[in-house]
Amino acid sequence: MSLQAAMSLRLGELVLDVELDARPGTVTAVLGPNGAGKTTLLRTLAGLHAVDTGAVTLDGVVLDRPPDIFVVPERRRIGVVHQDYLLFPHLSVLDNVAFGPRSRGRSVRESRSLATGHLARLGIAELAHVRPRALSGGQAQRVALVRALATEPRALLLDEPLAALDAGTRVETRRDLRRYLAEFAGPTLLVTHDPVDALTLADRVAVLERGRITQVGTLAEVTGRPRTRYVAELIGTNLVQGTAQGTAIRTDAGSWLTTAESHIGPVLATIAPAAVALHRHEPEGSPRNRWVGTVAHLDLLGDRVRVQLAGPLPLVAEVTPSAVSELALREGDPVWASVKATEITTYPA
Amino acid sequence: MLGAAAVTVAFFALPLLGLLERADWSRLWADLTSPEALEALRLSLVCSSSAAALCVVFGTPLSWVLARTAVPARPLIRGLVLLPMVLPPVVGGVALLAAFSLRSPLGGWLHDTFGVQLTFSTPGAVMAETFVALPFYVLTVEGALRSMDQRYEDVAAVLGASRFTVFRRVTLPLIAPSVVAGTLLAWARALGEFGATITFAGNIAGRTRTLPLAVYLALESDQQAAIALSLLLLVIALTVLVSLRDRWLRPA
Repeated sequence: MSLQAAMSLRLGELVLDVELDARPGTVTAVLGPNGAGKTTLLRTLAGLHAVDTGAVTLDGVVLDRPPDIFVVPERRRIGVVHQDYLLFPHLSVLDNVAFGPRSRGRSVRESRSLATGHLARLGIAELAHVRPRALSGGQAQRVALVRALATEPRALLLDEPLAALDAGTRVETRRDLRRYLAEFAGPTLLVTHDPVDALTLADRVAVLERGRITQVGTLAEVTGRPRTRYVAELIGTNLVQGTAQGTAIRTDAGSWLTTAESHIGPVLATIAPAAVALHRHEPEGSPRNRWVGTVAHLDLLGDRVRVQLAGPLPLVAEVTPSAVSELALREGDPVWASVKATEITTYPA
Repeated sequence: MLGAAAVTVAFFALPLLGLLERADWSRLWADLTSPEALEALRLSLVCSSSAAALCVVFGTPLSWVLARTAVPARPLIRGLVLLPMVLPPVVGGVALLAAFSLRSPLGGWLHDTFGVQLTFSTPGAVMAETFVALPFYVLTVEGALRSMDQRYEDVAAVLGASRFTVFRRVTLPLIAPSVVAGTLLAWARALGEFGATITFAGNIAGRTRTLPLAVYLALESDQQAAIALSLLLLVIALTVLVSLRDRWLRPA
C-alpha cells in the first residue's frame, strides 16, 4: 500500500531517473533546487507524462510500465495540488470542488453536497459561492486541497503548496496543512525547495538534484549527514569530500585534514562554520588543521558574519562582527583559518 | 506617427463618407424596405447565420486538432484552411464548382444519391460563405486554444474528467470569448461574401441573391438602391466589428 516509482524519462534537457517509495499515512518531502525535476516528477506520477523505462505503482497496481501499461490521469485516483492552485476561474468554489466527484460519475446534486461537506470540514463553507479570483492566497490553497481530497484519492501530490503565499499567510497555512495531511490515510508527496516545509510537514525527505534522488531519510538523517553541496548549503554547513587514511583525510582538492574519528576510503566531512576560527597570524597551540586562505566574501547574517574563504579549503567561517573588526578582515585579505580535529564530523561517502 | 495614422484612418473613412454623401436620404427608407431588398436581407441573414453555425460545428474540432495534436501534416492543413483568406473568392467559387457541380463526380453522386443540388441553391450559397468564413473562425479559436493555460486541462484530467468532459467543462468555457469573437467574425465575413457565392451558387432572387449580390445587380439598374443596400451592409458589419473589438483583442 504505497506509491512507488522506479523510473526514468527524458523531457527536453531534463533526465529524470528516480527511485521512490512513499508510504501510506506518511508525508515525503521531495526537496530540491529549481530545475531539479520536482514538478516533472509529480506530473509523471499523476500521469501527465509517461515514463521511458521503469514503472510507477500505486497500492500494488501498475500505473505506468512501458511498453504495455499506461493508466491515463483520469483513472489514477491521485490528487494533485498545484503551486498556483489552478482553480477553474469560470466555476465557483463549490463547483471547483464538485468537479472531481462529478467527473467520476456522481450526479450534480450528490457532487455538490459532497463538496459542501468537504468545504465545511475545512471551515471554509462560507466561500462556496465565491469565484476563485476573489479568494486570498491562503483560501485558494485550501480550496485546491479540498478539490484534490474530494475525489477521495489514494495518493496526494503537492507541488510547492506554500510557495505562492506571503510570509505571514504561509505560517498559518502551513500549520493547517499539517493538520489536514495528518488526517490523510494515503501516501503524500510534497515537492518543495523550502527546508522549513520539509521540517514541519514531512516525515521523510528525498533530495532531488538534476533529476536524481541524491539522499533519502528522515530530515535529521539527511541534514546530519549531507551528501551533496546542495544539502550542506541548505543547512548552512561546510561539506568536504576526500579519502581517509585513518585520521587523515586527503580532500579531493588536494589538501589534508586531521580528524578525531578514523576511517578508511572515500569519506564526507562536515565542518560547522562556527567551528572555523580565523586568525591574523599563524595560530599556535592545539588546532591540528590550519591553513592560509583569502577572504573571498563577507556576509552579515543576523548577529554573525559569514566569511567565505578562498584557498586550498574553500570553507565558510562564521564569526562575530567584533571579531571581523578586530581582525580587520576585508575582502581579498589573506587570513589564517583553523579547525579542531574534534569539530570535524566524518562519515563514509 | 499620429499624422501617418490619421492618413490611414482617412483612407478607410473616405470611401464610407463618399457613400454617405452620394446617398439619397429621401428615398433611403423606401429602397431598404422594397420587397427585393427585404428578400435579399432575409436571405443574407439566413445564409450567413447558417454559415457561422457550420463554422462552429466544423471549425471547433479542427481548431482543437491544429492547436493540440502533433498531426504530421499540420502546416499543410493550416495552409489549406487559411487559403480562402488570400484566395480571390471567385477562384474559391470556381473550385467549388469544379468539385460539386452536377457534372463533377462528387456533385453528380450527391444529386443521384440524395437528390441534393448545391449549385444555384441556397445550400450552395451557405457552402460558399462557409468556405470563405471558416478561416476567420479557425484562426481565432486556434489562437485562443494555444494561448490558454493548458494546465487547467491537466488539472481536470487528474480530477477524473474524460477528454470530452475536459473540453466541454474547462476548455470551452475558458476560450468562450474567442469562440464568440470567431463566430461573429465568421458571420460578418459570410454576410459580405460575394465572389464565391455568385460563381458557385449564382444570382437567383430568393435563393442565392444575398445583399452583396443584390448590390451588384442594382448597380446596373438603380444606383441609389445599390448605395442604400451598401449602407445597410456597412452598418451591420461595423456594428459587429465594433462590438467585437474588446473580445478580439483580449487574450483568452
